[in-house]
Amino acid sequence: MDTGNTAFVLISAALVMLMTPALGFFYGGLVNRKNVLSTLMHSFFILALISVVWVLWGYTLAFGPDKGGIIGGLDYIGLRGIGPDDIWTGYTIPVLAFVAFQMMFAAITPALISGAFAERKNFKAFVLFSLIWSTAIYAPLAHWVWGGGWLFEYGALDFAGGTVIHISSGVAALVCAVVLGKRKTFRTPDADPHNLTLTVLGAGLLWFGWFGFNAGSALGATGQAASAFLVTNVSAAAGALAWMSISWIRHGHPSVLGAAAGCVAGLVAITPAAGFVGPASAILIGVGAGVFCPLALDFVKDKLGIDDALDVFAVHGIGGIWGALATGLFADEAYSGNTGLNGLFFGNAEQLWIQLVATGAAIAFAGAGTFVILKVINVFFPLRVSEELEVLGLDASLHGEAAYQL
Amino acid sequence: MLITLAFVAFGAMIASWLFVPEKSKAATPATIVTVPAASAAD
Repeated sequence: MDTGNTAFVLISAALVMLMTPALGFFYGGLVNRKNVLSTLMHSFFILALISVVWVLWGYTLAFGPDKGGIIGGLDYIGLRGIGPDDIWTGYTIPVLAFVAFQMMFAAITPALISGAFAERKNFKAFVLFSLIWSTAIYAPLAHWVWGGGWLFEYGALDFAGGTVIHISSGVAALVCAVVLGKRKTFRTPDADPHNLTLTVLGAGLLWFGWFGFNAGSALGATGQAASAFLVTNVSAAAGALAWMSISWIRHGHPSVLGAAAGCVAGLVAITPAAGFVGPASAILIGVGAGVFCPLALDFVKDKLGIDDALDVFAVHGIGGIWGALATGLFADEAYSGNTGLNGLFFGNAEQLWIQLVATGAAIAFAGAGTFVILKVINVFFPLRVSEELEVLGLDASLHGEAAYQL
Repeated sequence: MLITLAFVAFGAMIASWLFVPEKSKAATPATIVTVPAASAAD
């Protein structure tokens, strides 16, 4: 065991932990003031819920002994048989540090989806959905890509979760938005953000936490971690500048929300590529995210009329897809230290095809699986609150509390 | 044994969330706990 690497990974896990309540602030500022607490609660509750799920059965399903390339075995249920001196294979950190680090990834993924159904989802249905989705969708996907599953064997590259986290949550969000239907306030002033200062605070904390997310995924304080740290910041910056430019050109203002959303889009896009690309590529990846994501946002809301309330699909779905494909374009063996890990622009066209297959598989699995889960839950619990409760606001009607006493 | 107990405890909590009766009517502002605003002197 290397104490320096272990300390680095544990601190990274703490940084990633901060991202889930940060996401709550980011989302919380974007909703109506009568739904702030319910939106914050989605993230805060999921952090608690999935932390327990991960220990009891999530980890073993994702990282237990491979079963046919699809799922992990139950050998580590309840983390049975894992002691503090066990070392994660191929690295110099304790398995328990890896468990804690991955726990935070598992927690934030269903929290990302919550932005799609904000301001209208029944809390009981939300509890069940988070529980089932993290078990039936997240754990298998994590196994496919990181746990020795079929996409891992196929050669798909996903450094910190572009496919496992962002494509899956983004596509799931789109399905949720379609199945639940529009808010009563869709396309009215009541759907406007109530407090963008919260949103910018959330974006800043997400940016900070993302260093743990991406650099920490090197699982050691290495040169690759330093490179991942740098390109993470560069892509976030480029994404913020690009989205702000788009909003300035199209709407005449350098939008604060555009800069905040753009930095998140840039962070999403660099996530799968962080350990494989250099800083110049990171600028292009960030700019791409800052351009593609707002265009997708307008397409989903204006052309398709889908009320993905807080634009989860546009930012995480499209940003994740772009990042996964960009990894197949810009991967450069010089930054990963692995000979042959190159993308199209460095002489390996096959990697782009592999990334396309991984992206398609994640979209199909997350999309179809989410649809089935929602339909099954709807048999037992209504997915939406009643119109009366929705008009009253979820803070008062579901939680019996108010965010502001002004 | 401890892992089994942990499963039971977690399962019991989830069951309590799912089967607790819904409020028959929406909460009203009067049901919301309010906290006195802090004064500048605080």
